[in-house]
Amino acid sequence: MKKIARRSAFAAKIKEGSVLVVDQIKVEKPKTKEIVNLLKNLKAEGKILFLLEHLNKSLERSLKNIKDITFLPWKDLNTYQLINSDHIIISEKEFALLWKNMILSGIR
Amino acid sequence: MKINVYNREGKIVKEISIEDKILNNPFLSLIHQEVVSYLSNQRLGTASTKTRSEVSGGGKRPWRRRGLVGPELVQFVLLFGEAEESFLAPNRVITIIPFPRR
Repeated sequence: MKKIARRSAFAAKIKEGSVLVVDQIKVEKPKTKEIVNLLKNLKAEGKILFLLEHLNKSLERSLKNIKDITFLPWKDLNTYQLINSDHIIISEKEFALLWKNMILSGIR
Repeated sequence: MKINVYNREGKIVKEISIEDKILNNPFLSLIHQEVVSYLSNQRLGTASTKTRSEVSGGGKRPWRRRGLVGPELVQFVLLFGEAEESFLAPNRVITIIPFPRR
């Protein structure tokens, strides 16, 4: 049931157009500036949720000091965080995995 | 449905297509249920006050046992907060809203 709820929420977000798939989420240096530029280029505003493959230090450092940003490994995604964010940024590879995971979960 | 893939400069690099099957009819009630359950389970629920019997001191009857009628009694009850003590004060509230597994 939880999985279905999560999938429904994700589907709704996709339909809304607030899921932004990026070719990769990577920073060269652990700088918030890199992420800020990325957000500016993607025209993403408001509360932003980053779904990462796993947490790594330089990414974490570039993300954690920006207002209204949450980030977590895609496997830990929950419905509330999906609903509570205006934009969801995920890399292509993770999107494919997440989507596959969601198709497999539940019957509906 | 097709989803755009952006690069770091915000330009569309390619498109990926996904099945429409899942996208339609999101299960709104389920989403609501899950969010409500998630949020209420985030509460620690440790707020607590003592009731009259747990507070140290006291012991003298706040009012006479007999002989009070109607409005007199009401006045006493309001004065000593007898009526509120058990209803309004938190006393270890632990809310766990279960969410169906299947």
